[in-house]
Amino acid sequence: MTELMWFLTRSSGVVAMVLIVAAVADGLLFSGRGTPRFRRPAWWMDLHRGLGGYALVFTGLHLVTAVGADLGVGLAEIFVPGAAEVSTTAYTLGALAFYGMLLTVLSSWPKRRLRRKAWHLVHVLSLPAAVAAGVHAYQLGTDARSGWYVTLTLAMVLAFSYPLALRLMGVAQRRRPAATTGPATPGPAAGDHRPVIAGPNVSGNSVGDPLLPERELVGAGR
Amino acid sequence: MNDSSRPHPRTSPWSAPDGFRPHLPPTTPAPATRRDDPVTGTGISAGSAADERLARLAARRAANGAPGTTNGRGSASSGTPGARTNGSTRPTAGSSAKRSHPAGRARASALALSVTTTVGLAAYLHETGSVSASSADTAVISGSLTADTTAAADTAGATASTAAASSASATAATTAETTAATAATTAATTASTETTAATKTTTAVDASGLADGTYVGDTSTNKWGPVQVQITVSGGEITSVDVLQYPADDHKSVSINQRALPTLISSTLSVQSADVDTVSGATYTSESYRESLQTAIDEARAAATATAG
Repeated sequence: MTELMWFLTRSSGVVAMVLIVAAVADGLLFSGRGTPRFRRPAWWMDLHRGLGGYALVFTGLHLVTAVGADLGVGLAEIFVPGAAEVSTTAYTLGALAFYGMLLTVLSSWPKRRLRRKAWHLVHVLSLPAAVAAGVHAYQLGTDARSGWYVTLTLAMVLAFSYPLALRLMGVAQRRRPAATTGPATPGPAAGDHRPVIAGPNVSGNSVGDPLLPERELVGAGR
Repeated sequence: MNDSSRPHPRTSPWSAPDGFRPHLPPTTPAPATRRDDPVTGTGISAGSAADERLARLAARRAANGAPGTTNGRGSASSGTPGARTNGSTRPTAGSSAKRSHPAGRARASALALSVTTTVGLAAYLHETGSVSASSADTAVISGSLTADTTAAADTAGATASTAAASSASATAATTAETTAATAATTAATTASTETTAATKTTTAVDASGLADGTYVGDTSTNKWGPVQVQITVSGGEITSVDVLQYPADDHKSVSINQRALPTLISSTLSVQSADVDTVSGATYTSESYRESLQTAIDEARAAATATAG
């Protein structure tokens, strides 16, 4: 039985890591300015919620099987940051990543209870939580030096970095003074019945340029 | 001159004369909640341009008779893309209907794929590296030089190879082959012969200061378990290293030592001393290995000194 737990904790850890990165990438992509108008935010939002929930479930599975896998560590080392005598950093990062994910999910499900700014602050915790989980996997993972896992890690780093870079570029662009931005591109044509989604989470440019700030596009051409 | 208090006769808003401002239909002011973006956490710009857009959207919905103006459900499932500000599917107040999932199929696929991958990966790991954690079944991890035992100084092709311990049972032999699969290997039968032949008990002394023979180092115990090393010296060189004991009480220790010990053995055969580098992730095992190995080398040197004296 412990042997089954041993293999399950390794495999569930890998799957949880992939789900975390997928959820974060989904959230960063669909809520960013680079999202084209024709994509459905509702669909991406729903998928983002699902991936985040599954990531938490598989992380829980990883923890439960780790307890039963006879790893030489107990509940305290797994759930209390800093309690492990060996590989302290790795176990601590794993525990912190788990708590960060838990807070992120509970802040939005089943119901959003926090105010907007507080909610956003908690939700942003998912980014360092994902990084902490990745470092934990690299330091403590039995398969961390395997060829297939190294390849998977590279892919996850790319999948995480690219949307994050897009968002950061969008934030930096938004904070630039209006005078330094380029000419506004005309908005949708008069006969365009596609709904206009207000808010900074969708590019208002029919050309699809993610870098143009929305303020200059709203009302242009109308 | 225009008199705004007197209604101006016209047939349609688009036929108004120049300078006349068309009478716009009353617009529904945007509700406060729509200004909150729960996704990005940022508020909608409070400028008049944003208000105009919201007003136009509300007017369009009112004209189309769309159900729900603030948090209505089902717009995504009705095929209107991005009808909401953030894709929220919150039900209206008092509604007991279930929350819709526009990406239901994708979510189900992701879940099925995750479960399948977890189980499949566990099976794959079981096939490629299944090792019993029982200390009773722990096999000796060994390595020896590939050079002929009669040759004295051929260290160019030092590798770690699989070797069946002379006292190992059939189960241990199978496990030894499995455990050494991660290290560089040579022909198993040739290595076995060389290892067996290398275990000499002659007292020939070479200039290197090590007497030929087989020497067992002291047991060095760390947090995870004991480590004990045995070396075989031939022609003044360490030709074979056997790790008689290593921590194997749990799966984690077994997998770590399977990976670390062949590297330590290979380094020992290469440098011909106990000054080997620590293997990353196996600090305790590396330290204990060095201690036990040093005691075995010291014993070989003492035997050489005694013989010379």
